[in-house]
Amino acid sequence: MKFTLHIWRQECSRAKGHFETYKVDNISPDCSFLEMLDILNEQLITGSTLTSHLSPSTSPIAHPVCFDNDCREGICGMCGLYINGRPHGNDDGITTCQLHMRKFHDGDDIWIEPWRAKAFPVIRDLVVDRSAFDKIIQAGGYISTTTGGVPDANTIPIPKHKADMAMDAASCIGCGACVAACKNASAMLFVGAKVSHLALLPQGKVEAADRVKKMVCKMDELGFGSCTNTYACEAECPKLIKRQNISRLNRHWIASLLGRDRNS
Amino acid sequence: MNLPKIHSISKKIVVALLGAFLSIFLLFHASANLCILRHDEGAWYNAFCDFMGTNYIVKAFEIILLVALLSHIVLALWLAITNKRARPQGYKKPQRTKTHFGSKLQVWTGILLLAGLIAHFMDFFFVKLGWVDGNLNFYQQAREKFQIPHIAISYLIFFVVVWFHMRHGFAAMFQTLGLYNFKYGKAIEIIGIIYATVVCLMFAAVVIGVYFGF
Repeated sequence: MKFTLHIWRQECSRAKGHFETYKVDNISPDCSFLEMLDILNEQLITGSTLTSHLSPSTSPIAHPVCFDNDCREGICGMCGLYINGRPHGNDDGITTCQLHMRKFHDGDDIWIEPWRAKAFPVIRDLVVDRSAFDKIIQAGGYISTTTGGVPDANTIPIPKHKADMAMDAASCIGCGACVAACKNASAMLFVGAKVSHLALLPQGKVEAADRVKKMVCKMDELGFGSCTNTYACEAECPKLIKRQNISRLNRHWIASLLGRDRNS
Repeated sequence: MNLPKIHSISKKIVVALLGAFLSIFLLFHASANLCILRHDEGAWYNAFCDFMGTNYIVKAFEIILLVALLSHIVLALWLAITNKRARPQGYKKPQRTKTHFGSKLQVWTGILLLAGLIAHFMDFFFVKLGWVDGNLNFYQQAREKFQIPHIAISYLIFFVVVWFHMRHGFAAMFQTLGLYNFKYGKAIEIIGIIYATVVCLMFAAVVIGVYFGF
């Protein structure tokens, strides 16, 4: 398969970015999207790729395309590219590393952009700084009590449906696709998932009100937008985290304003 | 100028509560409007308008309603501006994520509603306040206005916009107030569609009825 890639290139966070166009050929349909970018980078290093430059005011960038990646099996949340108008590309419930080139047509034009949000500044090319998520977690996304050693599984009785909901919320890998997809660059699904997976369990319930206050305050402070219920976050979440977690976040926020904890 | 610090979720909760209040009022307004379809020379409708114009409790309610409407608009626009600032640089490729059509248009349908409301107030509410010249017999006024084709069509388009705004707003209100869950989520959405449809059909029935001479 052959493709025309339009890739966002930006030297550093302060530099002005632009799109550059590359032609790649002889790509296997079973190749993952990140492997395809690896092939492009090898060609860029050896100088065997056709490059055309869309922005005449700036010179072409010679170094390989920088992009985040780590586990390449959809569990670490490092990769994240906005591909042809969708975070993680044109498929549901996958991360960028799980996207395969067979999802495209031979000869397609592919536009690759970094996540766009004030809270996620571009570091270089397609790499964005997602430490804003770490700051939200540091603000309150934890249990502060010392829990000691790992207890036996059934020591604390937890209803099955609550354990399932907590597990679903805890599957958030913090990739930032929710922010990238949301027209307001809102992090409500991320914060909702992080609040939910703790608040649904007895260990996390004690600090639920305090936690939600701290995390929402930090989210606002970092410049994320607010939720306008378009649910693009839910549609693009690679872990299929549901909007009900946002509703639960709102419920806990109201409870915290009223000065009382409540059951989830 | 530093604006007071109100957290984003709190702003949304206030917008949602005010929206709920305005939605309930719309049902009340639409029910009252149905009196226009009675062939009693406006006895019922004008009596209702007199009651609305003279009762002090109703007058106080009218002020509350206007404050609620303005607060709903101001807070929603404030949120929209804050949200715009959260993504200073947009994407080159238009978004292809599957989302609900009405949800993306909520701000725009809101702005269209505001324009429509001003036009509606020019026809009726501002006349009552004496700010604009017009017929104070609102039954007659409505019957005359709704027989003019372009006004009737404009009102019907206005009701379609109201439908879109309410259809999304109803379920969004439950979500914002933390009442949306796995069990009742679908039911809330269906009730929202039914509520918005019933209210808008009640409004539209009066315009269509008068236009066709009922």
